[in-house]
Amino acid sequence: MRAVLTGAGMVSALGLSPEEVWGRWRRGETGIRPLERTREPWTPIAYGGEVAAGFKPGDHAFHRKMLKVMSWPVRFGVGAARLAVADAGGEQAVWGDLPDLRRGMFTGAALTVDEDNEFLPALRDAEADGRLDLVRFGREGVPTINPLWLVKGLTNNVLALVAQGYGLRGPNDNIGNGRAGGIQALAEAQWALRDGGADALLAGGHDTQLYMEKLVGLHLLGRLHPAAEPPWGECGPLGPGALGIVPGEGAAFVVVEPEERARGRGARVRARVLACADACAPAGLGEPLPVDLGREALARAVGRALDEAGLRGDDVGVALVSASGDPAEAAVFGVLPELLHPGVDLLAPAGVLGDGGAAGGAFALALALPVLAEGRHRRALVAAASDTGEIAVTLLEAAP
Amino acid sequence: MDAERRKIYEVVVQNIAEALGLDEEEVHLEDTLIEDLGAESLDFLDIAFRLEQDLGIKIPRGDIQARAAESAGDEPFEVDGVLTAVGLARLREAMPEIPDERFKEGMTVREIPYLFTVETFFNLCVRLVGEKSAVTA
Amino acid sequence: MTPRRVAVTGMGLICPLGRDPEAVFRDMIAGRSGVSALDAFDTTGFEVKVAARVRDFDPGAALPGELGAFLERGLDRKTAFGLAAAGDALASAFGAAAPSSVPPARRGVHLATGLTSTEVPEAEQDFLAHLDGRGAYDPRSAGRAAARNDGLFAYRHMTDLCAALVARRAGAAGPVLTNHGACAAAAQAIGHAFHDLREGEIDLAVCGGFESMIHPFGVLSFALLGALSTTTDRPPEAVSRPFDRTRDGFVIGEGAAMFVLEPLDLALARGARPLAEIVGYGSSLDAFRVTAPAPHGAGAARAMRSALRDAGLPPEAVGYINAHGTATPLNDAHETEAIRAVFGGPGRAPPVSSTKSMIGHAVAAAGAVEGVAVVQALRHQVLPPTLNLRDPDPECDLDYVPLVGRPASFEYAVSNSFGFGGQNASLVFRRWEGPA
Repeated sequence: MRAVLTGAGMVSALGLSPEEVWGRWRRGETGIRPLERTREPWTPIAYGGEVAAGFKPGDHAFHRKMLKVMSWPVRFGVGAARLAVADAGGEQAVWGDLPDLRRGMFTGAALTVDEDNEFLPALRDAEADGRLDLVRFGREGVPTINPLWLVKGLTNNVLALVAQGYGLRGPNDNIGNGRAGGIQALAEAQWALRDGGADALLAGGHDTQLYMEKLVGLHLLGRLHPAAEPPWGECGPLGPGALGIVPGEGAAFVVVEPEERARGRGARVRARVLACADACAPAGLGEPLPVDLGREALARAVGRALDEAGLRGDDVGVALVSASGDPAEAAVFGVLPELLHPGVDLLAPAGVLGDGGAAGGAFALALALPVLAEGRHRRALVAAASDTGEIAVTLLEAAP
Repeated sequence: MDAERRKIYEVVVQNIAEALGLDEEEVHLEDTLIEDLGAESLDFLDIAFRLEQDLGIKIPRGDIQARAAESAGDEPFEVDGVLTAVGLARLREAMPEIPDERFKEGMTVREIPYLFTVETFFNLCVRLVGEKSAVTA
Repeated sequence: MTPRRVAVTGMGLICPLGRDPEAVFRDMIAGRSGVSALDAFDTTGFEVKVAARVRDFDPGAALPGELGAFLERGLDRKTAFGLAAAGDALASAFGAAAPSSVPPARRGVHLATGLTSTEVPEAEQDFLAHLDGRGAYDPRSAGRAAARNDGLFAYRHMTDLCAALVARRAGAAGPVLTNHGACAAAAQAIGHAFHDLREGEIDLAVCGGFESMIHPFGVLSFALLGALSTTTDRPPEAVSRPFDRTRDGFVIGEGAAMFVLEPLDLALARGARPLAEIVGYGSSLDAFRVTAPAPHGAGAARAMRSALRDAGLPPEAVGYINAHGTATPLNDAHETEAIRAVFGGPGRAPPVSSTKSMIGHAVAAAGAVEGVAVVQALRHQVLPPTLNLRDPDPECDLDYVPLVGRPASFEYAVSNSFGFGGQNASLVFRRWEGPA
């Protein structure tokens, strides 16, 4: 049984489909622009890969009612999943003939954020000399907090909402492994197909780095890019300009199904999944990604994927990686020409989209489709690394 | 409708519309929350919260049922989750806006939310705002 | 590759009844409760008055040097639970020795947890201190203050850090995942580790869950939804009452549990003593509502059926079900309906109990903590009870092993975990019948 990708959807700073993003990237455009919706005046970061105002969440939510519990990354995720299904032929074509138990979904997600800090007024009203008066907070503050506060923060909201919308009741998982999550989601989806537990699945990731707690964290760890101007052009996150993370956001999802079914329903097969593998470089405390261990882990994962696919390094023409701009990640992914072959094309979508966080690996995965469709390369490696040292890779092949 | 009731009516319709992602024109007094307007249990919490904030009232959860049960006095309101004849009669009194045929024999306590209409929330708010004014006065 | 049998060869437990799985299980079968008055903070202004807290846990003392020192600097409580439980699990599987016969790349880690925790001092430091005169949040002020402190802020929002630290502890360089499947998360993490081992992807897994939400904001988040018991007219240990007619919500718990899993043949070859086998995992989505279960417990039933199919077992092979059994009015009725649909009604369904009656609901870690109870039940052939079940709900008409544990002879047990978002997971454990 061969898993194939029959559709892809993206919500990003540079467009709402992998084709649009890749086309604009090729023309030299970038999605890294002055921040608008998420500008935080205290950081040196004035630029980022912010999803453009052209993304209208209301156009993508299954029920307008649910927008009230959908934070921005959840809106991105639901939007990208729906765009992927539309790209794969539409709801009826993708799911129509399948029992609901044989439809599944795997997501890579970060913690959902409380962007509105809804409980701040309640905290403020209960302040006493800089301390929180819990009794007053309970009595006076709590009644002012919307009871749906927790629901908005559930990390599996995209999974839950898309499952509701499409009636997906089969294999599922919500993985919190940073950039690697989106690719691990594909790996698990592929397993579910091979196990015979599902006939069609969504896999991908969603996130935003553009909110207060995350930016404070990255800032404190000294991991944000120091430039006050847009910091790089094409492939920047892998070059000498990789001085830090330029934050971004968005989502990407793909539709995964067995090749036989895809052909049978006349779907456009966008790529075959040849192999998935992961490895970890147990991270140190506060270190971004240990370079030596990271390279070893990447080599192991790539080696396993090549073995599983029965390929050699020079069979792979292009590699798309989640490199965020972090210098350690640039050094780790910089080893790919050695692992594959010196002429391999290296592409880092974060150069034009910013670091997508849990969407980062999924961005690379979705963008591999238009890259392969160009015909210059027959096979692509997609690789992503999380801040805690998990590395996930997949090998894709253009459909014949 | 006097000015105060008119204002409460507008607040109720506006908040129910917002909570359920509807236009205000889609919300009518006689609409049931669950079957006509697509509400789920979480939305009841949300709607009650919004009304509390906008009208400065406190809507005790399960208030209507509790009042109906209380009015049943020593008679059992329900047995094993099924409303007794007395329970059904008291509930009907507590929800005068609901057509009689909706109160069916064998109805369970868990089915009570299905009775709720926009008017149920309106009447509840009118009463609670009135009680608040009475206390303030 | 022929599917391999998968053995539990080690476990670690941090729960409100203690840290020693043997002693904890003795307490459970005696019907002892870990629920007590909620004294983690001043609850005067809160409706919720009880919790199942982990007591006498000192992260600094519980963990080896470097980690202990780091944790003392303020890493959150649940990560400390997770690391300590993983250490116990590895020690119980391997003693002081390292699992050196398994190459690092063949060792994986599958953990589960929930939301990040914000305790009161953090709320004061990170938020309260930065509200301007009008009460609006001033991120400039937060940024300046953040730049002055030592960077721990950043770690509080890294829920996958624990998995990386456990991987380092276990010398694992294979797949490492953190699952965020709400209250089904730990069962899913264990299920995925089990599948990875069965299919030959890895030869050693550390898996489980860690959680702590017993702080004002965590308690509040569930209380606002009406999910927590607000009972005050009973002693704390009598509040958590799954399947009881008067049940009114769950009691929040906390803790961690970790398992070491190995392929049975490799485990036996190295002389390990299996504690139990895992033989099936099933998962499903309700695709219904965010917090309410699907009508008739349909999603729960699908998860159980799927786990039985995965195990290749008929329903009648199962001798015990450790229920999700939260004690919310909806969950227990729907789960009962689901069990009836899969296993048959009273007299046909196996005994069911909810250990949440004694240790509360450990949220994202629940499936792991309860997994330890299931393994112990299989080993000792005793069913842990549902405490406080004195007034049975006519809608819940199965045998819930009320009040005290009882001996039973059984080979297979199912453990259920269902989460917000409609994620459901069931695991099937098997008694180890070889030499122990």
